[in-house]
Amino acid sequence: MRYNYVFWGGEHNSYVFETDFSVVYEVKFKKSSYLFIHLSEEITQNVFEFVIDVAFNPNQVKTPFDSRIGVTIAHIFNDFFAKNNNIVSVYICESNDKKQELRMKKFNVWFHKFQDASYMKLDEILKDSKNNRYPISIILKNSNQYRMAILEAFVSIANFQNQDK
Amino acid sequence: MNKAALQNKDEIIQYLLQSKKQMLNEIKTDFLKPEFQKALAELRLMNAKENEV
Repeated sequence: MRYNYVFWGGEHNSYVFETDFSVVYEVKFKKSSYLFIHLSEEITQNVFEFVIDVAFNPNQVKTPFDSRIGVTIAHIFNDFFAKNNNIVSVYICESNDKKQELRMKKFNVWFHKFQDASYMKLDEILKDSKNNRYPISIILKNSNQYRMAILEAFVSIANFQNQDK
Repeated sequence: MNKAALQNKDEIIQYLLQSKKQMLNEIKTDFLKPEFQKALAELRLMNAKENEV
């Protein structure tokens, strides 16, 4: 069963929920129209980066495993995507500690567990000039009318990043 | 953000990582904002009403 959540808006479409352990989480969708600069504004205006993190942890200890968090994030996704059928969400994993691929695996498990088949996800690995690998995913509705153009543009970004190696 | 800068092959990655870092930093400070506290109060009221039932 999911936790209740509230959309409070802010600069980046923020949602908030609180767990049974009094840990407050925030989920943000930040507009990222620069990602697909070659596509029309009609498409790029609906591209958002997605992040989730702890906003407040009163216990200051590692947050315990809580199966309700995943289902709550899935509901928040559904709520945000319900605002516009053509929304695209972009997720890139942090890389400071070199655990980005582990994070992406967790994200994939979450997506496959909670998605309701009305979404599609495409994964790529972006490689920088030092050959560091950065897993990145986009999620969009199957019914997104621009899905072919978006998927093609996403793949071309990955290819662009990987060239000249 | 200057879109032209994103033509460089490492720029997109760096921009995405910086943007994510910025958002994560914002989450650390959002908690203190009045709008956030108002939303949290609304959420806690909602939770309390459910617990009453």
